[in-house]
Amino acid sequence: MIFQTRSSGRQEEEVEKIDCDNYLEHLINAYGNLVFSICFRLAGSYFDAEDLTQDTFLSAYKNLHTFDGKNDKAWVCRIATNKCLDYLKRAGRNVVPMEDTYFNEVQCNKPSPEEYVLETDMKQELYNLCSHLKPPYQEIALDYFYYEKDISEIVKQSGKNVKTIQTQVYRSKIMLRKLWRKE
Amino acid sequence: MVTEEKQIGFTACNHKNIDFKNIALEELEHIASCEICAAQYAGFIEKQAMIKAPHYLKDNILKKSRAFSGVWNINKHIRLQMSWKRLQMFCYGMKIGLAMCGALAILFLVPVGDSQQKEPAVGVNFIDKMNRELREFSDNVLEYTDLLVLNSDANNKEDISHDKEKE
Ligand SMILES: [Zn+2]
Repeated sequence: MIFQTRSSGRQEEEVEKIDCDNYLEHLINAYGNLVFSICFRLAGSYFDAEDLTQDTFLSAYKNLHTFDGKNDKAWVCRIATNKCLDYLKRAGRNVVPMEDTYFNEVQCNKPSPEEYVLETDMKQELYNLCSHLKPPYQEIALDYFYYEKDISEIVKQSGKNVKTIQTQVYRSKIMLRKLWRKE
Repeated sequence: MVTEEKQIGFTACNHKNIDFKNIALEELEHIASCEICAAQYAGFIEKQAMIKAPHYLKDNILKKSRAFSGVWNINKHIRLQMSWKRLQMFCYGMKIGLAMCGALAILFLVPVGDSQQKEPAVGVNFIDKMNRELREFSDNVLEYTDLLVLNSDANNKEDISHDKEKE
């Protein structure tokens, strides 16, 4: 395993760091949606699932040196489950959400899991919550979270300052998180 | 973190027939520590339905990982500096210790009487000569100061007798 090599020189450390960064990117590309789906299913909240997914990959990054390199999907899945367990315990929940509120069970014959990523009720829920916000947050939230536009795109479109857009995205996220938990 | 340790080592387990649709907390704990069941659970999620992660999530994670590795490097640098200082302190302590040991060894192991006997005659002569010179010098100084005192006494007596004669 490339991450288990103990480097002595600075160059070797740099190479090792680049390897770790590349491997993290590979993990996110390959299992980002899977981890998010697991976290969303277990936590039941879109924005908490986002935090848990982030924690999962950062934890994987920190513990890359302990990974045996055999089954990265199972490894990442275990980390995600651990994060969700901690989340559930912190929240004082002894029960994992049972109902598939945001999942549509679909039998799919397409070859790759990435190809049957679904736009589900979850997306509709996100739209509804964004619509609950007051201007200017409603527009920003819809553009950023629902229509998945980049900050730079919104800046071009609205003609506002980057900092202003970033702040509005940040605030709308806090409001959406609260609203989702209330639902 | 309560369950952080579990991520590191693979624990042997009795694989249960878990109903992934309705998972109990204990079963979730099992998945969190079992590679085989974790792989099965991942397969179940992939087959059943997947949700697209937020578009900004990847960039956010990569940014945070870079920030983390930056902090990591700074900590490493600080640790290196600390260990260098500790090494310097250790060397200093070693020097002091060795010097003390040497001093104690000289004090206790070197026989004092013998060494005085074995000392070269030139050394003894030199010290004797120095002592003699110093003694002579101090005697001369004492004689000179005595003379000065005697002279001043004589002058004082003369002055007093003159004053009495005037009276
Ligand atoms: Zn198992």
